[in-house]
Amino acid sequence: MAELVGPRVYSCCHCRNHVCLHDDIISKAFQGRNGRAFLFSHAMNISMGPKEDRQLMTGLHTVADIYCRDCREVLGWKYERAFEESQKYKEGKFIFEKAKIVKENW
Amino acid sequence: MDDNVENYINFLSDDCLICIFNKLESESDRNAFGLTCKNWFKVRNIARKSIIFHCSFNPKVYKEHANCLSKLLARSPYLNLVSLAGLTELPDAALNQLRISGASLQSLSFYCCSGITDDGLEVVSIGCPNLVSLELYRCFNITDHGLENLCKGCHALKSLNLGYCVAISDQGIAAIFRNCPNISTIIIAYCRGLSGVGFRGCPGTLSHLEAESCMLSPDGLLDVVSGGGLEYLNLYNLKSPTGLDGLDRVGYARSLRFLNLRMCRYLTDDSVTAIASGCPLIEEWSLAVCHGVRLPGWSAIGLLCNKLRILHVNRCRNICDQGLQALGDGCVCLQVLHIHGCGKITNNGLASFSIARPNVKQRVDEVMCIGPSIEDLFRLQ
Repeated sequence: MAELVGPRVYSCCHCRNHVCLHDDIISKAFQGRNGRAFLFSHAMNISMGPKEDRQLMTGLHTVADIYCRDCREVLGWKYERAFEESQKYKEGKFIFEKAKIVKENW
Repeated sequence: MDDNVENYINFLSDDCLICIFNKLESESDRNAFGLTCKNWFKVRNIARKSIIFHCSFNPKVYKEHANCLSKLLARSPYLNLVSLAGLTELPDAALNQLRISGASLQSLSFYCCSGITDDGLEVVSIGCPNLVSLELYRCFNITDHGLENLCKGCHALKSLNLGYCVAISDQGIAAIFRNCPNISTIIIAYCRGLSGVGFRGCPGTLSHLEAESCMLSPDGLLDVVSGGGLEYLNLYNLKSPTGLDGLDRVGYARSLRFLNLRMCRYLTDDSVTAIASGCPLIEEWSLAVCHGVRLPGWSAIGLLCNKLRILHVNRCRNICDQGLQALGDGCVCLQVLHIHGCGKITNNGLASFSIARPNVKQRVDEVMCIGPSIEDLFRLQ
């Protein structure tokens, strides 16, 4: 294993496109469509789908799916709006499903 | 009057009837011919050259296909081509009936027939010695053992589709080259177990290789091009567990004309230069989503690729106006440029390119497959 230099990066599982940093993790206790998911404050090299209202475990939210910009694999979603006060902290943050991202050499 | 007509028809020999049958072109005419009387039914079966079951998403259709397959095979002794698509539960036992057509069978396709195992391949290798083309796409249970048996029996193989045969390793591939001297087209898409060293010593007849989403090592890449005859190479989404770029080895494929390096994330400028200088005959090259290529790479392509007609640079993050200009200053034979979604290219850059090279067609569509359709190589003429 090469010695780690620089930030710890997560990549798209399909095409290894750098999509998020470990330092941007806010919480690891989220549930995605098919398993565990992490909440990140920032994402890069992704494109967003259309906004839609979805009933998630924590209530109604407006979310937009995020896609890897290179291979267009769905990696998670972005919270656009939360309708309950207790969920407002999620607005503008990104969910990446654990199964869809891999650690890039660390 | 009726008696005379009937007598005349009875006097027609089977040869005449076969001649007449071969002039019928529509399937319904041919079926009607076969249903006239026992003799004509026999002629229809003798003259049947191919059985093709197309892919359908209806499970009832699959059941029908599976049921009538054995009867059709039993009746038709002179088949050239049998193509079965989507019969995922077809057992090896069903292949025993292929022996009836045995020596005349040239092309077999088991597209998505994941029930076929090494035992089935053994039946094919014994019963079909003149096989020229074989498709085992998504036959997950095929292993090196089955492949070796197959090659030992079918020396005339030219085209082999092993897409998604994940249990295959370099040993199986090496067996192909030991036993099949005419092999020209191989598809190893998604075969994660291959590193490429099995291609060592491959003959110059190997001209087409599809290796989508494979994990070929740098040494393996060297062996892949060692035959010298490769004209078409598809390395779309080449995976590299170490993150190292071994693609400069592709520069040893002197006869290469079509190269697909789409989504090769680890491709560097050095490799691009090596390929551009080592492969002078390159006609179409896809570098879409290759973020590692920068100005030195684009300059090398402009300078060295004198036969390049079609270039794909869709969504490359590191092609800027200077790089585009370098391409425009060189590449004398360029006819089509697929360019779209490149963040660093400005409208000025595109406009300058259009003025400098008015005859080059700029296209925004992104193409996954380039060059000649490889499917055609699996269809008999």
